[in-house]
Amino acid sequence: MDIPYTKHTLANGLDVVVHEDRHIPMAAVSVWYHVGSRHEAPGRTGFAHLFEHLMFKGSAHHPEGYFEALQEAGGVVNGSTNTDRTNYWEIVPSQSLELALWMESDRMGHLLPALSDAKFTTEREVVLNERRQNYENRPYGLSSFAMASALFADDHPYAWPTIGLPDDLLASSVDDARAFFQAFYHPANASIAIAGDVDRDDTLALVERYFGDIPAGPAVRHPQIGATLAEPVRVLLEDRVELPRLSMAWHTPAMFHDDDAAMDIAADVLANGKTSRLYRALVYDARLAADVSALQASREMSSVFHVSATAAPGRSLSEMAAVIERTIDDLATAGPTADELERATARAEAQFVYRVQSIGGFGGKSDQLNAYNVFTGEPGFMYADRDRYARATAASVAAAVRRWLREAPGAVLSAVPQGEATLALPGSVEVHPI
Amino acid sequence: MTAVDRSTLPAPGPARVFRFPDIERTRLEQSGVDVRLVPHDAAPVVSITALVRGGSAADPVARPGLAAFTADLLDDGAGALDGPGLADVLARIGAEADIEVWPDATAVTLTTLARHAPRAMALLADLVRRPRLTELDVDRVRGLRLDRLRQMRAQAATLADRAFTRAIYGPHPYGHPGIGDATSVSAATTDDIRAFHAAVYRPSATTLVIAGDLDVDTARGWAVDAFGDWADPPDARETPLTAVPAASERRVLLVPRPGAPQSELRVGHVSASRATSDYHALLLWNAALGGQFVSRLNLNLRQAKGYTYGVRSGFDFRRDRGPFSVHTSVQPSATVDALAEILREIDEMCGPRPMSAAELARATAAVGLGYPRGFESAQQVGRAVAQMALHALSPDHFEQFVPRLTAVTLDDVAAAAARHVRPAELTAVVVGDPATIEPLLAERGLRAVHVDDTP
Repeated sequence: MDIPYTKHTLANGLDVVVHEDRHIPMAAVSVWYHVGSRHEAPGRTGFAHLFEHLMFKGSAHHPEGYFEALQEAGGVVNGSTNTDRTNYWEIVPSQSLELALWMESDRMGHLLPALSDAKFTTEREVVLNERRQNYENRPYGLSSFAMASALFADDHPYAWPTIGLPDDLLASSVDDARAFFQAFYHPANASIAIAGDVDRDDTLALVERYFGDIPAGPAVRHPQIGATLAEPVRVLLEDRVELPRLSMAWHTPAMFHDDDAAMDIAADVLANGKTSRLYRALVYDARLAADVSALQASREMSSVFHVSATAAPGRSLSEMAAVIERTIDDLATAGPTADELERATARAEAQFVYRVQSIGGFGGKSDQLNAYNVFTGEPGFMYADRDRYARATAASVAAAVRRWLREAPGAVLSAVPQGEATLALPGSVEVHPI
Repeated sequence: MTAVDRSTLPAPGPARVFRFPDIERTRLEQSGVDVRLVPHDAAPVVSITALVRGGSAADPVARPGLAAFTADLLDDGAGALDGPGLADVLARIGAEADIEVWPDATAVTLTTLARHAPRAMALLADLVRRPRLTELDVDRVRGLRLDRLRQMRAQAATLADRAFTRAIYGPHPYGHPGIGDATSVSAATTDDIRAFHAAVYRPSATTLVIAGDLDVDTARGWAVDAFGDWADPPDARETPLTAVPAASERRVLLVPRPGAPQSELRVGHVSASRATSDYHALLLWNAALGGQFVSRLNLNLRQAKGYTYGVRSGFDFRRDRGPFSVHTSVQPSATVDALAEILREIDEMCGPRPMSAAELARATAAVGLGYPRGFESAQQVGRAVAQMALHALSPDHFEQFVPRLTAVTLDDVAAAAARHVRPAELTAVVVGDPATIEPLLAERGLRAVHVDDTP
């Protein structure tokens, strides 16, 4: 499928990408700021995400909040923060495109006058609630925190969770928010993509009109720090869970690297569905596990490959670990079979089509054009991205698995029910993530 | 270039007209399967759904969870293929299989690239008509479902949903969660599952929706080939609706979760069915109460007080009367304050501070102007058409949605709320730390009844 687009860069450095799609009378606006939790510092974590919340609390010329006007126009609006970027989006009836641009430009250019201590304090409570609801009060919810601390040194930008540490959040102030905005929220560190029922030239003109007079702002330094483990790490987390879960992780190359696609295919071969090797071995044939998953979690500085399995009642994490290690050994030696490679590439090809069925929101076309533009400078990198999968061979997948999962050490987390530390893999060090 | 006027928000331009997808209906001659063909060429994708009018409400009384257990087994071997064999073929055509069990229906959907649609249709017929349901697979899937039930004991949100549903519906077929309980899942036999499949999965209870990049005549041919020669069992009958239990008094139920870092809250009662003529009025009333971000509940509990990451309310419109409920997760120290605020907001909306003209206008705009968003992908269109079939909505339902919404008056909304929302009969379920919550309740002269519904 072809996704024709136009890219234009304003004098202040703002990238603008426009794609026309007239299937529904809606326009999707996506704004990416190239800042995430990796731009934070130890002791000051959670700020990029808390700041995202503040962006919805109103701006100088519309101080009363961003949801109401867009909601009344029939639009939806949301945002998200991860380690590498923060994104904001609206999907509005196309006759209200200008409203969405007005609002996005007002908060890009004029946020601070509307930011008050009261707004800051309430929103910080909301974020602490988000943290308790989505992590602390959820089974295995703290596992990702424990794994990150096992994989990365304390001062590595991927060591802390994007949601932040509660003490850091409580120590932050509205002045930090102002400084953060000034450092990262400006046109040269942003990209806007608009997809849907819009006219290309009119839209470019509107963006120029609304965003063109916002000052470029200071240059942003993006941390670029690699990640390796010197030796294998084993950690243990006692959690409010019923069944113990084993999580293994290894450092892998950054997103868009050829080996990043190879590891994505490896994840598919290992744990995607009933044909996958680990599902067969752990769940389907032997009933050692209640579930198993594998994932190449692609990120900008470096990625992580995860394998995770929950023990069936009465089965041990050691049994599962042995099967997982043996299965990875086999894949590293002989690579995927022709059947496995065919399935994985067919699935990858179909995913590229399914992903472009919507104009916006999380993962729609405007979001993807922006992702490719921010991370590669090429909104059309989608095709090169897809080609990485077509290029993968049994030998290249085997070589990647060997290099990243066999020749380099990994981290293993045993998440076990409270009071049952003996269920962890031997030699695991207890951690207490917060 | 003129400077931007930032003193006022830009007004919308003229609305664009949206044409809803055409739906061609046909009934297969021999088998009687209801078929709905929906051309939608936004992407080279086809989504096919077999909607079987039998879901968890059709579970035998002694076997809660049987519908979901049966549905879980469909892709574990069907027709000429075993489970891994099916997974292999689905992967080769890049298909996504989605099997959902709702209270009123089971929906089996295959979404695939358009060029593989004929193959997907044949596979779908295997899944729905010819699942193998072997003893070996039943036992394996039973183990996996028991594992899931066990893990649910640690999931606060799931515990809250279970306890709430049980409390408001009691023994009614909507009173148990789709997955059932460990006793029932342990006891279900292969014969139970085969009997359930034979009785419920039948042509007279099935609608086939084919949506996406397709030619209507060709797609009809796929349907005839795959579902044309299917026959009902001799004793087929629709499951009758059971009477909904009598309402209760206002009450607070507590599912103890000692040391919980957050409290899960559910508040509501049994309310309206999808067939109600108040449907559009209730959608709008709910939008103002808690159906969207800017709503009384969320502005109060999240925006003003910071008690929660978010709170929503909603009507779950079903064939029989579905629940009206408010759901949220709040900080433990604010549990009872949040509950009191939820009750106050519902009381006020039903009494001294009913929905205002401004709220009605805003809700109508929000729900109506955004309506075409739901018609973007083949899956979305297929899903909307399947819902239309499940609830026997008129063929012009999509076209009439916005006009009907716009016609709703303040009097309509007030009358609808009076008919379907009964503040004196609200049940509240809290999953949280008793040591924190019970003293807070006592301060307000309230007491919670402890409940335990171990999955």
